[in-house]
Amino acid sequence: MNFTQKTFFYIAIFIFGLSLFILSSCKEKELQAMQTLIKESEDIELFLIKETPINPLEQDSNKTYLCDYEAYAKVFTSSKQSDSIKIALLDTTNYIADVEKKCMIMPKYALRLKTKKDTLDIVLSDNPCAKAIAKNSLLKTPKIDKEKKKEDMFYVDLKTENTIIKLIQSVVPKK
Amino acid sequence: MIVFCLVYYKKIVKPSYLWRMLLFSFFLTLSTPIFSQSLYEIEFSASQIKYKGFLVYFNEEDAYMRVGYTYNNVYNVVNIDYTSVSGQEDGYNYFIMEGKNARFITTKKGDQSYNPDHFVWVWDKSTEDRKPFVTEDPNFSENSLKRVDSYKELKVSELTDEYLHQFYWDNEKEYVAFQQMRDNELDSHVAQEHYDNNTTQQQNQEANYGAAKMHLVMLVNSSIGDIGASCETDSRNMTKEFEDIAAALKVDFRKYEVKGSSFTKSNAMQVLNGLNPGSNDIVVFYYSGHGFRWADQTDAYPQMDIRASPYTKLSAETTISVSSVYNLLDKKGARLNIVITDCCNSDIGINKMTETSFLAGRSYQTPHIEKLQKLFLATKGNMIVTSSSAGQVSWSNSVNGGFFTLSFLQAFHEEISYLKTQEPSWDNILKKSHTNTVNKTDTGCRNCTTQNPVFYTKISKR
Repeated sequence: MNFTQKTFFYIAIFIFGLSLFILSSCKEKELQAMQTLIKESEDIELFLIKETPINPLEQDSNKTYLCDYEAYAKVFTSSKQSDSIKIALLDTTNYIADVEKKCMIMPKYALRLKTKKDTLDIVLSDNPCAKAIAKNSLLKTPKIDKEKKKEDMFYVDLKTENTIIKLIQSVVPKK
Repeated sequence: MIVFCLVYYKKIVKPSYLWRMLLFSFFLTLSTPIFSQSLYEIEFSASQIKYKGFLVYFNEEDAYMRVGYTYNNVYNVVNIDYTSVSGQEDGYNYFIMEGKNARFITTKKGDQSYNPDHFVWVWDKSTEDRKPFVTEDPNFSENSLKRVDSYKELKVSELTDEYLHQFYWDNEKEYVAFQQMRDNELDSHVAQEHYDNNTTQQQNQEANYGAAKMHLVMLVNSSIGDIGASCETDSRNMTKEFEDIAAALKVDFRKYEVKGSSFTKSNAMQVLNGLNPGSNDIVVFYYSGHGFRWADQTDAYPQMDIRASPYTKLSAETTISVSSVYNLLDKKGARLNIVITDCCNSDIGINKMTETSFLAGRSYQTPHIEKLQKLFLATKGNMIVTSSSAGQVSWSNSVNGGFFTLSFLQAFHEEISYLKTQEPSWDNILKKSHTNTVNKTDTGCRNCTTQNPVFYTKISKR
């Protein structure tokens, strides 16, 4: 590769370096806030959920929703299993804070963690689009667009190899 | 703190690329738009000698500095290669450039030698003076570190012949390239003379290529919760890019945008079906948003998920295949069609849904006008490119948008630059976009999986 090709070939790498740093800083704060909530939680419930969320205005009050996803089954977890899931949730190496996948989250599992004050709901999707959405009044996403929508949801990608999904899958009964 | 960072650095055999790229953030936080040149001037002094360095930075593996200084009444210039590493430790950010291979550009006398200089930036939020430290000690002993006298980013217009002569000989290819780059800056007086008569350029262009219009169709999911911000960044970058291209080429420009709350399949199809390009026109279609492939899909190109809200159920009525857009535009009769999508191409785990009625995304500097003309006005045909191969996800972040979109823009900038002497071609741009994207995901991003763009071109000279 000659000088000219090198110049521009590597500018591609060089230029986006900053973005990784900046985004990492922003999301890391929210991730830390989520981790704090998880640490303070006393109880973990595991649910199986439908893959499309329901608008809050259309939700059935007799059903359970986590991050607006309807739970259709609750999975029993022993205290040992709950502890393991909590440890996995607290493991920051399971999360990706600096980049995002441009795929749609199709979650299957949801966790409800009860803290002293309220609850933290987390829905999770498996590979190839492993992602998580967390909902709690303390978690915020930036205002979106000029429409100034503000959500109290936190979106974060999960690593391809993450222990959270693995543990949940080991707990969920196989059909 | 500095010593710790340096010791930590020295212990790292080969720091991961993510940390290496984590950044040259210091440079970019101080610099102007991200697509501007990476040229810097650093002045420092030691033993009563003043040194001036001209830094050309490409990436963490590839940078060099020409250092000019006077010793015993003789002016010397030395070239030093640099590799760098960056990271964070205990709340501090650090960026270290380690020099090596110092060689004299001017004639070396006898056993004259030059120990390469090394530079260290250390800062946190409270740091006011962000000038780097310099040392020639390869062990970075704390006592040897000294703050540089000045550090600044250079504008291309500052690269006068006189300035360049401080570091380059006339016959060096870098000197010639910088001259060309400078001379064609639109705001320089030399360029002004060249482009003074805009009417003449336009008349000549129309005589050669005929009058043309550029239609830009932007389909961007800027409202979706998880990636909306990065899609908005893509929208901004691509819109600006093609606006600038149209302005440089002096062709009429029309933008059609489907984004935000109006991001629906119905609106998208209305725009696409309503397009009526002339036979000499250029149509550019760009999509940034969620993408996927059906479990039973054989088409290499993904489906676009045209839902601004996750509450809308996924169905055939909320998806558009990238290939169908390509085919639709092909039939419209424009001279040149360009289809670019930045989205995932991963298996959604569901077979294709059928239609049912249920409810249910530096400015480039010194553009070489002739090269732009060759790419946009002197060609005909179609091209299609998507950001990832079957089964792969595409990566993005809110600051720079999609990795592929960024890679495409950078490959495009390179192709139309003065520093590149070969004939411009779309095939080259797409190949470089591919390489740049793979490099970003494989070496520049610790948490990314490989992303291989897929493309097809059927473009020829008109």
